Amino acid sequence: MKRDALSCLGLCGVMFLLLIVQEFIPPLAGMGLARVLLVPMVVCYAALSLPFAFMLIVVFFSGLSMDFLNLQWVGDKPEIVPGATVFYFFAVGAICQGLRVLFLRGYWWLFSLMSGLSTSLLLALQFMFISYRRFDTGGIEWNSLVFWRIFAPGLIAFLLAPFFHLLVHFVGRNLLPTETRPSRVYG
Amino acid sequence: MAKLNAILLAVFIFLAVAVTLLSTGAVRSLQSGFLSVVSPFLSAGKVAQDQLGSVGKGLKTLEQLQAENRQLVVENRELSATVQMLHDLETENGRLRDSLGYIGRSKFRLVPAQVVSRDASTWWQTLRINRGFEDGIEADRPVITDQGLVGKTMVVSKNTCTILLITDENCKVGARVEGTREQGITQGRRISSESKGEIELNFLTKQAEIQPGAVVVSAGVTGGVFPIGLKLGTVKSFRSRDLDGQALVEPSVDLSTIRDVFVIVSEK
Repeated sequence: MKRDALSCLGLCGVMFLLLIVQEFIPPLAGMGLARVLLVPMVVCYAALSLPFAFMLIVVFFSGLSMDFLNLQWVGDKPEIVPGATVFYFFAVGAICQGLRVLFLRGYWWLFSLMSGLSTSLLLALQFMFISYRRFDTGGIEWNSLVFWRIFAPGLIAFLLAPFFHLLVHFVGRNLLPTETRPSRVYG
Repeated sequence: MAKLNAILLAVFIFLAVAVTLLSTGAVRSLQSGFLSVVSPFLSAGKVAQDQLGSVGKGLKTLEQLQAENRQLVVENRELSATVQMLHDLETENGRLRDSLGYIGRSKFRLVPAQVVSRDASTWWQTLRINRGFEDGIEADRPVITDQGLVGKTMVVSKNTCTILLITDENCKVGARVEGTREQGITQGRRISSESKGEIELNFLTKQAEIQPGAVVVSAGVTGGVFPIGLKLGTVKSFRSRDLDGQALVEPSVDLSTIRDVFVIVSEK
């Protein structure tokens, strides 16, 4: 319990750090000026490695932080409802909790897969939402640039996830929950 | 354990729903508070980014350093001569400015600011600066550089502020094309392949004779955010549509590399 709480706290700290770091990563010129999103990856990791109760804390903290940092206003109203990302991360976290047993048995690639999918899906949902909200001015616009801006961040999260897993695993293995230690997972 | 999870889930859902139901004022206050908490980290990140960027620049070979030194010696001589010439010009300029009363007629009070970070979100064009309401900045204030209009302030916290760029689809500016009677409304393109972004100038007349290179400036709508005469950019192309004409405008400010801006806080 104590270990899980420490892991939860650590992952919240890492999430906050990556929230700041991603602000300083420039758009990717070769991928339609797509941006790098790192927070969904941390949420997936938390949901795959922590028990349900602690997953909820990370999900709430991450969703709220992302919403408050990126919330855009059109006149007096926010363009996307504040708290929407909390619900999205909860849905992702719930799916990840279902896969947690497999992840703890060593199916680490599930983390990569979920990171990639959840990042791209978040961007796709945001795009659909703003397209709906701006229907009278622009409507739905679909081209290769839109595709890259949805697909590329997911691809990057997919590729970064194993390294993140290794980094957290080795740097903070004393803080990780007992069941995610190498001796139990792969032993 | 299952009971505890159920209770936590209920609390989670309650809190999440409560956030979605918050009033506009409460959301703005919370966002402003959150940005105040985050701003020291963003400033630290900006310093770290600048230092990391300068590390690579500092590593040069001896030959490169010698060549650079030779070039700098020549430049130094040229600059010394230029400074002398500018000193003379400054004296003359000051004298003429005084005589014209230029300072007294200057319209705006400006707050200088540095760009701290750029929003990592994909679909919105915003950036953050290191000034907030402590510096007298309020929401919906124009942000400019010496090259033209940048955008307007959107969310203001204690010592940081989010700027909505003119290249964002939600930023609309009443504008006119210099040298013509054409007026319209600009808005950014949601998706642009240009790193500095692109602006569309809509609602022009279909038969407008607008040439590439024409300058677009703010029209200064009564009661609007943007004062008259701020440069937005230059026309890249023009096309007639079913009901109106549309010009594609290249922003005069390179918003992808911009570092210093001014916020117009009031008229003098």
